[in-house]
Amino acid sequence: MEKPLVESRIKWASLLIGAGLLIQLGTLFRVHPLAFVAFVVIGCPLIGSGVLLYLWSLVPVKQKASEASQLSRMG
Amino acid sequence: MPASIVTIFIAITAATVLLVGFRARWTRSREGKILAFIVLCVLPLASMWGGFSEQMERAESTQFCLSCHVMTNFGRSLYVDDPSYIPALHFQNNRVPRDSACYTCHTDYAMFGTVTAKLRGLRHLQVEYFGTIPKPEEIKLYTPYNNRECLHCHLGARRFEEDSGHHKTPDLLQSVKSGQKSCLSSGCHDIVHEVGSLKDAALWKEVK
Repeated sequence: MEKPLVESRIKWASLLIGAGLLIQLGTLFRVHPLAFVAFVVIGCPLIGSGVLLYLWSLVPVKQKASEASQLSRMG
Repeated sequence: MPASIVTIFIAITAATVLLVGFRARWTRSREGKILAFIVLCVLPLASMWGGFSEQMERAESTQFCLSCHVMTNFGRSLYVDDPSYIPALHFQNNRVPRDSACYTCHTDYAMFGTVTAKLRGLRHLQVEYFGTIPKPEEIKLYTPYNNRECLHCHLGARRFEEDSGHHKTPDLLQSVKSGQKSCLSSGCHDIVHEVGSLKDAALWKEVK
């Protein structure tokens, strides 16, 4: 059975966030400027994009719900 | 916050994020949606904030600054057994915290001092990995050393205010405070890291 779009987006969001967190975790094991750069340049954008993707996954669901309620009122 | 706590927190967050991601059907119920919001939004942002503050703290450490090979001799210069070396004098007598010695003297005590230092650090990295690394003795400050950084600690201190050397001429102290006369480059405290002549220098052995 095909997964709903929301769940698919949640999965992708969790993969992005998880990858970002694992990179950030790795950078904490070394005190070095490259670790700092990896944290800021790779880890933070991955987490940020994952969170945004998760938030985005909520929007269409809400729109559909509101559209559905409008339709039910009209019909 | 201790580094180990931040590390454990990030590890737990990563595990729960991946768990929720691979069990996305849990998010169909109302409780599942709340769980997803906490796990996929609140916890990652909290982890990012914790990790970032930890990284910023580490970036102030002496170990961080000396982790590039070209800085090794600057680190050695802190152990020169000669009180005329200003950085060594400060480092060995705890006038600067030893674990953040570089940061204490080389960050501008201005509004965006830390940000400026980080941006300069990025430039250093670019030179380290993609540019031509200069010899340690060729490394110079971007701008002349500002008295403000010295006065941040020394201003108002009795030893500084009453030192006979600072009263050689009536207006000397005032010109130092106003930045007209440099502490380092006007011939008074001009022996700093001197990494070019460290080969023969005697080094202080720290008692632990």
